[in-house]
Amino acid sequence: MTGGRPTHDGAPRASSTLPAPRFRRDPQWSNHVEVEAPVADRRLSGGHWWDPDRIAHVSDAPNHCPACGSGLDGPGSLAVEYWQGDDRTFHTRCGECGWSGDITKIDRMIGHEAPHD
Amino acid sequence: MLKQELNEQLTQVGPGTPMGELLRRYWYPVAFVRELDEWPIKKVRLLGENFALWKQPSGRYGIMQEWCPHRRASMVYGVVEEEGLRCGYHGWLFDEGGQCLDQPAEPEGSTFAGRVKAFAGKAEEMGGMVWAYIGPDPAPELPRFDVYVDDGFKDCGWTVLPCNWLQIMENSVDPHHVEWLHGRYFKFLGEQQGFLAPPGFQKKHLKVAFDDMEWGILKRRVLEGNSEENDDWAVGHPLVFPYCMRVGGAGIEQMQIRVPIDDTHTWVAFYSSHQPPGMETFPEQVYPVDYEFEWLDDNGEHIVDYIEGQDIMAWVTQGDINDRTAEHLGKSDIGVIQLRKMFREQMALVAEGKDPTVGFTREKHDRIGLPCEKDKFGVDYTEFALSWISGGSGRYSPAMDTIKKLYLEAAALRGDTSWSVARADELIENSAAEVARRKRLAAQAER
Repeated sequence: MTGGRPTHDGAPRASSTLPAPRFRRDPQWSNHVEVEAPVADRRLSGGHWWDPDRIAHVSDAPNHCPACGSGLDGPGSLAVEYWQGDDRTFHTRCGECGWSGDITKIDRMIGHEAPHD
Repeated sequence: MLKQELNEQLTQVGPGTPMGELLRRYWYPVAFVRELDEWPIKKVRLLGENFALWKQPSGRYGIMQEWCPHRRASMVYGVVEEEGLRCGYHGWLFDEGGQCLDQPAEPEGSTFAGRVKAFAGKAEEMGGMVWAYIGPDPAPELPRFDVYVDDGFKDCGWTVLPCNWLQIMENSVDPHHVEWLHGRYFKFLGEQQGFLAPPGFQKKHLKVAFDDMEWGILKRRVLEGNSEENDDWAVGHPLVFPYCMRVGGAGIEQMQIRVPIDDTHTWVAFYSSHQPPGMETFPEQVYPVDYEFEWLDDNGEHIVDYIEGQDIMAWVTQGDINDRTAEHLGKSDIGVIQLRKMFREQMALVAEGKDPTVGFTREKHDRIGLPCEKDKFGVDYTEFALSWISGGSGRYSPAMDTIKKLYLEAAALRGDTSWSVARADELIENSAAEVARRKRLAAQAER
């Protein structure tokens, strides 16, 4: 579909072993050269410009259930990162004990100031 | 953000994968009855596997593996007989259960046929479509949702998209996209191209909520200018687990269907039952109106001047399988997280040998009613219906004019005298559908 066009650095495009997608084409008005990205190519390889960001997001994700200590990669388990303001939170569900809740990473504890009378 | 392994588990639909095993506990529409009446065999690809679907002279349906167990020729090029489907290559005959009944070239008295069984699923008819089940026995009941079994004028636009079904489902629990993709972006296009984008879609979301329910996730919203008294919050509408969304308003009762063909292709259909309030009898139909709608133009660019075309742009440009290791979710994405959690829970149940507990039933029933707003976005019924039809994929329907008249007749039956054909035509004249039609005609004239 887009074969033969150069990549960002001008090198010839690597040929994919997957069949060309039937429908997808680059918009004619776009100046973006879309590199064909078969599913396997998206795995973390360290070679993609976005890999450091992905590694950073994964590196401190909770690995174990805070309630029972089971691994969060098991069947029925989940840890999905989302942001709320400055808070980086992992919504978590444990397939082993069923515990579900948010785990928020914090740099320091901040409390409220007691009221002055 | 998801880990790569989890993204793969959530998106792989083939046999033997955790998600594939979960999805094999449900029924899927795989053909229109019309198609099987025109030619009694259809090739079907579902959850990464190929099948031959056929209709017998008795009216019963069968679905079996595409490849004949004998020499692996396609059963799609077979012969339909009273007893089942016969391979066109050497004549082996299979019944609905996949049992081989006849091997004409084998010696007389051979018992070989009795020892050959092909994989066969189950197929039934409902709402003008043929539904297939390819999971383990015993099959659950086919859920008879209101849209398919209630009286109404049935209209179904469909297409095949080159992307994974999950990214389409995640859109169904992402209410905020409505005010942007179908609101601000649509308005921007209208300002550029000279049409009126539906104003109802431009209202700001003040509050959203998601409730787990028996059939999926019920989605609620409060829009600016409205309150919790409005249907958008008081009633809401559900994502129907694991591959549909029930939606509508103003008498449009719709199921949005996303059948996973394989990991990177999805059959998308908008099945509507038009039941304008005030109307009790509807034009007679032999079959639902069905049509393939367009979403890419002649240059291969996305057609974005209608609601579903905008959704499709978002789904398809996420890639064949959305790379969720590179996403950045916020608080407004909690519906997406809730859906992923539901999938993980249900995948684990099936892995343990249990039935899913959502979107699944073994109880016999005649009809399942699903909650769905009538008063949508606080907009006048007729205006909403006409905006939906002219601003959505309904503009590709050969029955668009019939449907327009249905809503005008219903307004009159309700005693609403503010609507006339002229007023409806004026609304449509200024809509994206009409501007797009004029552009198409101009392009044809140039050629």
